[in-house]
Amino acid sequence: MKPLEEILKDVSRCVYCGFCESVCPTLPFGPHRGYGPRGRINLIINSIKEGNLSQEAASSIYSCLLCNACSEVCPMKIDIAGDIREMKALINRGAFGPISIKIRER
Amino acid sequence: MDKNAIKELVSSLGEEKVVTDKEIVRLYSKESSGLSGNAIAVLFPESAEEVSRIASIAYRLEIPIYPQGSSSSLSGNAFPSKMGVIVSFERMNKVKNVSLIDSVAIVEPGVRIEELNFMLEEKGYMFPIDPASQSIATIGGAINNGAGGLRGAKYGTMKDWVNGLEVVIPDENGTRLSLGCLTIKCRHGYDLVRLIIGSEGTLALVVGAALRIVPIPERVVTILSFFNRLEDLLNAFVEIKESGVQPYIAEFMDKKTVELAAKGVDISFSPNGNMLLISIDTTAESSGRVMNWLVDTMKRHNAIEIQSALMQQEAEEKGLFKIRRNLFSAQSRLGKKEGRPSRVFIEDIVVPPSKIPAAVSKLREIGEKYGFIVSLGGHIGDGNIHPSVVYDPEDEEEKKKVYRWFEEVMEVSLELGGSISAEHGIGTMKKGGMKMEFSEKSSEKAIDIMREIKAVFDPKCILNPGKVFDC
Amino acid sequence: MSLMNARFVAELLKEVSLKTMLPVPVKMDVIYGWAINEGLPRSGKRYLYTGGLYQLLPYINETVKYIKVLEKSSSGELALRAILDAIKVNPYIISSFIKPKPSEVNASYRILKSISRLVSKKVELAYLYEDDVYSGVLLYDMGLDDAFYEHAKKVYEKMLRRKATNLITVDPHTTYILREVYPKFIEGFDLEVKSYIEVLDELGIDLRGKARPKWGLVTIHDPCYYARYLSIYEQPRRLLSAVGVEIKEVRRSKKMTFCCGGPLEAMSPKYSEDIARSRMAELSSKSKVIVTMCPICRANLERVKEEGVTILDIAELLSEA
Repeated sequence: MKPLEEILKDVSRCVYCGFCESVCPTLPFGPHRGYGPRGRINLIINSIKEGNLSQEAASSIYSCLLCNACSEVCPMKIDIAGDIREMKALINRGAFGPISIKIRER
Repeated sequence: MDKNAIKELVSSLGEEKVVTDKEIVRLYSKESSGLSGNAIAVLFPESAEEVSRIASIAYRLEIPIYPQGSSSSLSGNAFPSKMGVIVSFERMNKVKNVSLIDSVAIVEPGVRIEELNFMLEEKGYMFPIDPASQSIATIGGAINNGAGGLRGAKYGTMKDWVNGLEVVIPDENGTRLSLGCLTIKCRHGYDLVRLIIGSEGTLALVVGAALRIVPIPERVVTILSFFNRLEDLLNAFVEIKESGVQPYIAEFMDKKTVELAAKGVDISFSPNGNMLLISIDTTAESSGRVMNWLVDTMKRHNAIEIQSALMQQEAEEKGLFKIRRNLFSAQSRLGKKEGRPSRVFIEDIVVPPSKIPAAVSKLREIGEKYGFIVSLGGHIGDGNIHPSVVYDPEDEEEKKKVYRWFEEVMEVSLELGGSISAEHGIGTMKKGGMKMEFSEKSSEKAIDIMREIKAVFDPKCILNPGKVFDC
Repeated sequence: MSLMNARFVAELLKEVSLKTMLPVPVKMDVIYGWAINEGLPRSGKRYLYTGGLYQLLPYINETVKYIKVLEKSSSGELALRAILDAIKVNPYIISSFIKPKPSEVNASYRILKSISRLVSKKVELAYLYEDDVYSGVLLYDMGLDDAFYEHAKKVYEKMLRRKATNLITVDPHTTYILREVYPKFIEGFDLEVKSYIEVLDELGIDLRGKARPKWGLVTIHDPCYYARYLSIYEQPRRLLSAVGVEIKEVRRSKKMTFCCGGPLEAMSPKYSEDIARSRMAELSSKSKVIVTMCPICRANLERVKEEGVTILDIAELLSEA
């Protein structure tokens, strides 16, 4: 398991270019940007910094397939799927309280 | 007001098209420039009719509307600068019709440029506007931003490729207008299409476009050369232009930028010196002749390394575009401090191509003065340069320095007879720069005229307020 | 429609895995049943380690279907809760509801036999039989790291007991988890892990004759874990070319392959299906014969198969040559 600070350090390098969104399989069928890599990465940044996570945000993160196409095109070479998996582990451990995960399609 | 507005929007659009979760709204309140704001909701219309309903409600309730494609803006033109609603066009992403005989593609605003091109490619056609962000940049965003790209010198910018627009304006009825024509020839009064292109979402909501398309060239030959002296590089380029050839792509990077951008790139040659990347479209029969002539020209101007390819595929295999493509990545990682947040600041000035050596030397001087590692590359074919730096947005001192650097870069463009923005737009970041430019040209009244035009389209100033200029 | 709480799936997976060492409550012979008549030695230097994903997938999908039925029932979440509580006591309580189609089970056995025969021609291959246990990959993917760690320790103990030094794996997920993740969790884990595709590529493939396989032109669906996580994408192409198969590539192939949507199946079947369908359209536009090399991809694409399309595992194609 990656320590929290390390996840935050990695995801914080995001420059918000959105290139990752062009190759994400879940985004085109998801209800909003949260269901894509740029969204998930920034939800992780905000939730770790602020210590809370909404059900909608947690579900967005959970909807990731870990296929990692995003990392291939990320100019910052962020370990996107790796960080998302770590975040799932944090959610499972109750780091953000007992959140329900409801993955919804558009 | 917010609660009522949301209630009304939900009952008009349906719950699944209105997102109010604060964490999700935040994702739409930020853009690649690094700027961010806040909004009460993100709306996801799926038709022009729904956009029209949104415009009408927003007009009545006087709520700012922030139209949005993929938030890849680099100038502050996509984020909500005041409380309001964001209108995301991501669900209006259909290519409705492609006609080769009419050379036109009818698309919705949320179509991504690259996606459109994947579709056109199968038919041997393309939409030639290719910003570096084309994999996610949407047609609607590109229209409103007046986007350009690598092929700018040959194909111009967005203003040259839109025949007609379907728009919605913010009034009582959310009136829908059909502007321009399906055809390239079209003369019916003032050209409102060109007025809206590059208006950065401040005049109307674009809900559809008739785009011009062109055949993909039969062959594209590519030559990648490196020069010790920037003057030699420019002279080689001048000779190409003086020979009556308009390159398909003409890109340059100065020596220091090549060093940065080539790091970690897997290529079989050694990139060293100032880089010139030229592609020329040819026929199958003439490609060899053009290639030989290009190699000769580069040699005559003292190129120290030359790599060439007779076809696109060969160029890809040899990695001739790799350094250029790695530029954004290299820029983003440049001078990055471990464990600190970082933001890339990509400038976007334009000078007449003949002034590029002068601009490069001035830009280098300014960069050194502020102690920044500056990457310098751009489109030599059209004179568009993208000097860029990376800074820590939480370091106030550094931020101030970046703004001063930014001002001076814009001044360089004006001194050399250019402009402060080539293809990224004004947004919020260059409002001062735009004033500076018009005042330099003793044409301040131009901004007053723009303001009056804005008031005609958007009397309540609710469309992307605070962008380009203040109402 | 009510949306299932995905954490329920996680919890169920965790409970069943801890109690049975499997992601679904089935008998262990489901995993090694394919090898009964194959005559593979019980000990040796190189072991075939299937990790059970091929064999378990039909059962996993049935379990998901069963959960969906419960979820849609009038008592909905209550029924799910009750099942979870019952499973905590006896995980096998739901076993009788999990009845995959025999054809699916047979298909996975056939693929494994092909793999084992192809590899046996080249190296002396032993099999783990009852110690060919599931790797715990789904626990890891779901972020159930504590349960995964407990599971992985047990798996490693079994390997040690069998004195295994080299493992030959059969699917991308198991290959990845053993090669890249186990060493991070298990101190001293130093088994050499190779996919059979890598092994065949290194050692060459025996051709029975010059006969071209009947499929001719095919397209490849690269699995994410081979292509991106392990950089295995030229190897399968070399193997297919060696047996005379012509490949027509889709745009999104090799390192830029497009996920089949499989991993979302347990949490949102419709979502998973939509992704699969868009991938299917892309693949079938190049060839009506689609080659897969992962049981998850295979199952997920199979569900949305267009008319006239054949989905083949690469092992089936190679063993025909």
